[in-house]
Amino acid sequence: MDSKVPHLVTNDCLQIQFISAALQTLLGEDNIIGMDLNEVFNLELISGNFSLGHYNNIPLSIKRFPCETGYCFLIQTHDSNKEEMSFLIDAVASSNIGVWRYNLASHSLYLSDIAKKLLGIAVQTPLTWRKLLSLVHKDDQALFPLFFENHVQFGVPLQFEFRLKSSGQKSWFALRGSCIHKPDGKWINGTLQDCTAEKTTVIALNDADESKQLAIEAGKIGTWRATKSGNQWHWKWDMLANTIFKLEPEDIGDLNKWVELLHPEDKPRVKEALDESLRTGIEFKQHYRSILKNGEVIYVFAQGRVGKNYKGEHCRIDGVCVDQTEIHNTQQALKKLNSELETRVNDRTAELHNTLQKAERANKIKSEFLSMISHELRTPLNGIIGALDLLSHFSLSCEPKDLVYTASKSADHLITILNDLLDLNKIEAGKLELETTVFNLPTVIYDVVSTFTASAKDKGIKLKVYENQNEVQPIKGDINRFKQILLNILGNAIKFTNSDCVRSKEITVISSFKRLNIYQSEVTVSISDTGVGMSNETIKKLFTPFTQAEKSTTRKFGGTGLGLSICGKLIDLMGGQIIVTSELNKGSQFTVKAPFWVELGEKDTPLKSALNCFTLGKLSHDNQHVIQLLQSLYTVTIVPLECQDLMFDQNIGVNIILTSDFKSLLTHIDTLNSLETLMVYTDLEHVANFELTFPHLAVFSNQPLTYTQFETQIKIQQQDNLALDELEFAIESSDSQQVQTPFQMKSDEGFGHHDILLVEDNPFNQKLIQTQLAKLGLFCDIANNGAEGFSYWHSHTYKLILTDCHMPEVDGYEMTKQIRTEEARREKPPIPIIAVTGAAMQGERDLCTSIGMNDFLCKPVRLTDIRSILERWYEHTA
Amino acid sequence: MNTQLDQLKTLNHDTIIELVGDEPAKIQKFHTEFLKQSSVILRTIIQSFNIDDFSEIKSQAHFLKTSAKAVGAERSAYFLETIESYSLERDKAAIKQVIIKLNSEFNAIKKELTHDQH
Repeated sequence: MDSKVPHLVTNDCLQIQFISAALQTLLGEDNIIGMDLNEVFNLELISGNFSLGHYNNIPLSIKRFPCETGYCFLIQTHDSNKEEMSFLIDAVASSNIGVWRYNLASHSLYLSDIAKKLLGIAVQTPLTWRKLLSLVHKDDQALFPLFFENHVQFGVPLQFEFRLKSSGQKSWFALRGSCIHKPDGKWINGTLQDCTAEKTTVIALNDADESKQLAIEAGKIGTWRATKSGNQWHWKWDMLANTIFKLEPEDIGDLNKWVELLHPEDKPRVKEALDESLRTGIEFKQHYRSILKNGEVIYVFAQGRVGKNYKGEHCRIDGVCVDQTEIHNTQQALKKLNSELETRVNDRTAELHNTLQKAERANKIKSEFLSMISHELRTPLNGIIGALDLLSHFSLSCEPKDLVYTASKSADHLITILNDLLDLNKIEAGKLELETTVFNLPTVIYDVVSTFTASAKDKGIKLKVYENQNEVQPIKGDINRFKQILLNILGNAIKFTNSDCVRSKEITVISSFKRLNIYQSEVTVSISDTGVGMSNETIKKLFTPFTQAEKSTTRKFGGTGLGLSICGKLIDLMGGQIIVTSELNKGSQFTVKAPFWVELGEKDTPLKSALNCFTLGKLSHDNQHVIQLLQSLYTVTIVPLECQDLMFDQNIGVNIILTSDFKSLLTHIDTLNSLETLMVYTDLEHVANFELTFPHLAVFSNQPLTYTQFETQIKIQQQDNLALDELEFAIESSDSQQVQTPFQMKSDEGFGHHDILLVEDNPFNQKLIQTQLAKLGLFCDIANNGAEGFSYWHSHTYKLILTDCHMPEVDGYEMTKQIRTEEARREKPPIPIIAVTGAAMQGERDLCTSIGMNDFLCKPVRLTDIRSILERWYEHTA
Repeated sequence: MNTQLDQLKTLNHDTIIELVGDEPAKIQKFHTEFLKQSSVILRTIIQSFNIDDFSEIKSQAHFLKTSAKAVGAERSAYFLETIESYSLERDKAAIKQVIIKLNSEFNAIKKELTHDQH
């Protein structure tokens, strides 16, 4: 470089290596070689290669150029133009505006440091036009050639926004520039700014505006406004509003065009409202009609609000108008339809009312008829039942007996149906009144369960009862109707569980008592079965008269479908409820809940007496339930029999054994035999075995076992004697039994004409042996005891005597002795005498032989035995 | 006739068939006859029991036992025999229990016969 040009050269570390002569002159004689450039000139970097500084108060501008040994710095004194430049550079730098220039001929591109920073490029990185374009978002790349060419060729302002690839949609840059003709060719100089904030705001505003516009268009809402200028209002509305009133585009802003269309009836009101709004600022809100140019009437709703200027004067009004013709027409159509429907409903209601009255009248007549006919039928039916009952006591042969039985059952069934019909009629007519008597819940449960115990057993259904005795107290209510409900439900459970398709047949009755308050209580009885079950559809129909669960039910299980209907009505009368849950092929559960008054009379709580409860082996669930029953009645001492040291009071009057293991009980029974009132409770399937193994013990099944039944069983066991009325068979049979009289031989039956004499006191055995002999073609005379036998033998000649040994008055042994003595005295040949005895011991046989009997038959005498005896003794003598 | 306790039947139909042959009408007649006799004798036994006449109890039990055996009422016959032996021991408490069981047994026979008829 020329030494006349003030400049200096530094190494890479900006240490001054050389000073030109011109610079030396400018700086004076100071030697600054080897010194740091920044320290010497107090440099302030303006742009990448341009800095300002000073030396001895001389302001300097310094430009940097790279050279072989480091850098070359061109130094000039800093005049006022340069100050302006500095100001410009400061302003550009502080406003973060990047600058650029582009030579259209050489395509060389210059970007300032700020421009590079904005674009995210390192300051040192050289940049070409192509490189710049490659950084631009692909959607915006086309903008560059388009705007540049249009600007150069047509003078279109070069001004557009673009995004960078790296910043995606988020950052926006504004590029502006203009073409300059210079001696070295055409340049485009320009600026680059980050306009993200402005662009985002504009986009959001556009979006909001578009959204509002779309909504307004979708809602067919027209907008209108007026502004006040002086005393004049200037009106304007949009095309949508114009379309609503079918006005021409040029009509926009002419308020009279709108006023002309107002319906004459609505015009004064609407105009006045608008004037008032403009005057007072009150909100404008009107429904009105307009008659369009084509004569069409439209229904419009308009609403507007008045705005104020800074002085508080009403200066503008903005509003909307909506065409509601369609809505109005629809409303009118609906109103008409509604009115028609109302008329139709009224007509139908009147019709239904008439029909209902007719139906009620018919129902009343039906009820009266049913009631009358049921009563009328019951009287003769009772006669039939009575007559059949009497007839059944007659001695009838098999076939007539069957017929009487069938007729009797049918008549019973018929009277049940009649009773149900009468009940239903009475309830429906509101004539059924509930009675109020004092009763105990356990008694009801006992009555209901015991009614079905036998039939459940016959049908192979396990019937189980669990009574929760907590708090149970005497209650007041209609015991018979409550029982009727439970009997019906339990009867149904039996009926629908006794089906071939049900494998595990089990019915469980659970009762509980809940004290609601001092006066009221709630009784809950749940009856669940494993029967055929029902679907939800059939449950809904359960309580409707004459409706059974399924159409096939009547055919398969019988019944009228009246029972549950009556139950439903009865429980309603009682203020209770019946809850039904069921699953098809799984079973059903009926839960009856009924409120009852608590009997408030004075009552003595009886003292619980003591009881020993011996347990043996693992207790079954039902035996555990027995313990609960015991504990509700007694003060119980539980004694496990397996214990080494049995601790119990031997003087206690009632002793219960709970076990299912009769073999184990055999080993312990000697310990217990001496105890008073010893009772065994076991599972139903073990009862028969226990009864036979321990005939001296009272054995009971632990299910079905009700509280009352349990109490009665213990009470009976504590009695020394037996009451006939407590023994079902004895009492049942006593009425129809005639005392069997010993066989009375009549002369016309040919006494003395037979050659076999049967001496037997038991009429049953007399008939049996007589029948057996007849089967062999033989007949006999019969003597009722030894005395008669001896007398017959004495007065007649027999070939054979068959005699029982144990008889009243004179027994078989004594008679034989008498006969043998008499035969010896009269020298008669001994008649064969055959002992027929129930005692089968060897000693008995020896005794018979020793006193002169010839042979021995053991009771019961089999046909083959009697035949062989006869062959031996009767044929032989013949 | 069954002899094992757990094999005893309420009514062994084979027994009466063996005695009088397989004639239903005749068998039914004997069954009816037996039930009548059972009722009368059971009442007598109860009455004797209540006055502690053990000899009469034994005699009546023995009397009915032969009929029970004849119709195949095996469990009844067993209970009657048990009554006989407890009567000899004058064990009133035990007799009471057996009478109660006997009553139930007769009921079971009655039910079985009624069931057979229908």
